[in-house]
Amino acid sequence: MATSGFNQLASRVSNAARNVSQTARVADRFTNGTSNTLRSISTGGQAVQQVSNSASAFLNNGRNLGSATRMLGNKSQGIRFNAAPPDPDKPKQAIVSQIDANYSNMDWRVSISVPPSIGEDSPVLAPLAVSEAGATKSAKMVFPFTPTILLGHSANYSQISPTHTNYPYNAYENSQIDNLTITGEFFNENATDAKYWVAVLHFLRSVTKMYYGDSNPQGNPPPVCRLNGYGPHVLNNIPIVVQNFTTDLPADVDYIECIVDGHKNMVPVQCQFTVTVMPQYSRRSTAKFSLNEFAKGNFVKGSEGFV
Amino acid sequence: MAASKLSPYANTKVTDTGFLDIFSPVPIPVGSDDVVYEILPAYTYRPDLLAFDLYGQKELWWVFAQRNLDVLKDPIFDFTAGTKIYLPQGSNLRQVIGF
Repeated sequence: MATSGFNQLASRVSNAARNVSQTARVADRFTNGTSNTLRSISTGGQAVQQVSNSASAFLNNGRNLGSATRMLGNKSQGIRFNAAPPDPDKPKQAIVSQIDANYSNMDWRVSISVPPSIGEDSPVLAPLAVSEAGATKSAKMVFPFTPTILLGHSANYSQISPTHTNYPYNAYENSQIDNLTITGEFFNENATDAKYWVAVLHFLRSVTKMYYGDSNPQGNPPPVCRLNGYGPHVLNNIPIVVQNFTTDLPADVDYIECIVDGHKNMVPVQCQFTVTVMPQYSRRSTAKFSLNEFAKGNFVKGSEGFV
Repeated sequence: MAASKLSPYANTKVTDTGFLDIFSPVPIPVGSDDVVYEILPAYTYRPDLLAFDLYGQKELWWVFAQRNLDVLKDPIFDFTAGTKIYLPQGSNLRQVIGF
């Protein structure tokens, strides 16, 4: 009886000890879980802090978020920080005189060169491209039939007439090359001729306009072309600007169709272009002028077409 | 005390009595490739914002009016959305103003 009671007591003690052990394990698991949870919270907090730091660094990096947003709007206009030109790698170029133009010993037709600044990548001006051998440049407007050219050179003097003299004195003022007037017929027999006529019209319209508004190079005057014809001693690569041109669209001729850049155009089969051009020598090139060399004919071989 | 070099009054002297003398403007150079810019709605009446965005200096709010005297008669109230102005280049401003 006493043994049985002792055994029961021992069993209870053992159960109690097992319960304590289980409780401790549960508590231990709970503690571990809490620790993990705290660790997770801590990790999350660190991440939040990192994001906050990044945002703070972004905002405090001299350019705040509002500024960055506004600059996105500015970028649509090509405006960048410092208001630098849109494309610094490709600076806007000044128009330079096309010195070697389209001079060719083989070609004595009267022609006006197409400056690369307007001739490149123009489908309308494509018919003016030069393909014959000997030409060094890509495009020129050729008068297809021999034109009439009026040219003149002047030396201007002012007359000094002292009182009571028989012979006034002529004081030299300056010399000049007068405007050249070129009048040429265009006969258009097929669509190719018609396209060429359209290209000539478009070219002459283009070279009588300045680089206005959104042009590049903005603000420059109309480009300088080169006039050639009849050999180097007659019209020798003269730098010219087109002052005026006129053409007619007669009522008493047929019109033929041509497709230019995907659009249908009607072109008269016969018309006349009259182009008035002014010699335009640059200050730098005239500084190299020498009458001695000119008289010897040495400028004929040179780069600048003095006449 | 002389005005800050970023101020539109940087060239204007101060009299002995402590007042600003006759206004002497700071000339803003005209660059051949200055960019034409149409003012965005976000910058209406806020040339300081544009100066901050472009040059990093809000104190240069007055350079737009000085560069576009014929367009921006009033540096603030003519600074409205859609107005086209020339933007002086930052490099030119640094050279002239020295900021």
